[in-house]
Amino acid sequence: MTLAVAIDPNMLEVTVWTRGVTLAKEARDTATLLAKAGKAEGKHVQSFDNYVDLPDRIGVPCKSYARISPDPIETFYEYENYRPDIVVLAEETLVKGHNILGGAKPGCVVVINTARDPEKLLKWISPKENMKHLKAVACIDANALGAGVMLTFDGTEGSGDDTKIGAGVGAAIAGAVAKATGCVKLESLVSVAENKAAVKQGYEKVTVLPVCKGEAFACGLPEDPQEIKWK
Amino acid sequence: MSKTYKQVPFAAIVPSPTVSNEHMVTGNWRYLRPVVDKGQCTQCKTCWIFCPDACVDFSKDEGVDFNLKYCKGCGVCSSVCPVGAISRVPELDFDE
Ligand code: SF4
Ligand code: SF4
Repeated sequence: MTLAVAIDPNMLEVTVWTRGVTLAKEARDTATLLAKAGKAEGKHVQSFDNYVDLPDRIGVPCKSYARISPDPIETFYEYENYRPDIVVLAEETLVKGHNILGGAKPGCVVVINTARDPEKLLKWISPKENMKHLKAVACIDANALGAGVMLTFDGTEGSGDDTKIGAGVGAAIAGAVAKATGCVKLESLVSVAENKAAVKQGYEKVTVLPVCKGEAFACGLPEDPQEIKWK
Repeated sequence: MSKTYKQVPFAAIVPSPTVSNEHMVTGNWRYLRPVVDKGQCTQCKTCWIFCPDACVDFSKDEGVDFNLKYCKGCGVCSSVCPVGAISRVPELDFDE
């Protein structure tokens, strides 16, 4: 099997981890929004859910994916992102007991929806050897954002609701990802999201902790932590 | 031979599980951990009956305990406890 990295060397792979039913829609929104924003910028994109996670079980860890590439994407028959550039956790506890950095490319950025400090969350990442690929951990307290940033607790997971793509927390998380990684521009994200205020709030409120050799600030504090160069 | 309504068990009776399935560890589904306040617990065993994953361990000496390798944090135990002895605490508040 030829790996996606060999076929599509410039493709960004985004993996959004989430919880079945309660947060599945929001995570799918995050992945879809990032892909749509990339498309709005004229890039080539894919977005899909993991096929084997069975997300119709409440609380089960499951994943949604996005792929963004400046070149036409030739990877069609790989149904998971085996080498993520960006890992998003729609729920903070996913950092514990999951190999979230499995296969991560060097320079991987993790974005977590949490009210906790990024430093405190680093200790949960395991196995530790994957930490060497980690460039930054970004935290956004999307659940605490303004009243318009809601959480859809809807068992129909989008089939029966009319909230459209990016109405709540998922939109805020996508905004945070845009700021922390620069994978898409804020304007393009705003143009495709239903809740534009949520995207902007996520973009503004995210805090980024640079990581080096598996430790926070090991290479010294950059002058502006928000300015982490992407590729 | 017919039985009166009260003699009929309310559901199927199955043996208590004695082996665990290593391929279906559900502990990492949990983001709220059940914690029992043993001072409040009356040892009525309602939680033990209701836990859908048979994760409530019960012993006469220790009282209620949870099998955290499989407890998926669904909160059923905490909902059914008649005295409110089980609280749900964010998983990341615990070091282990
Ligand atoms: S939270 Fe759910 S799985 Fe865990 S012990 Fe209580 S009832 Fe059982
Ligand atoms: S249901 Fe509540 S009171 Fe009854 S055994 Fe469980 S924890 Fe104790």
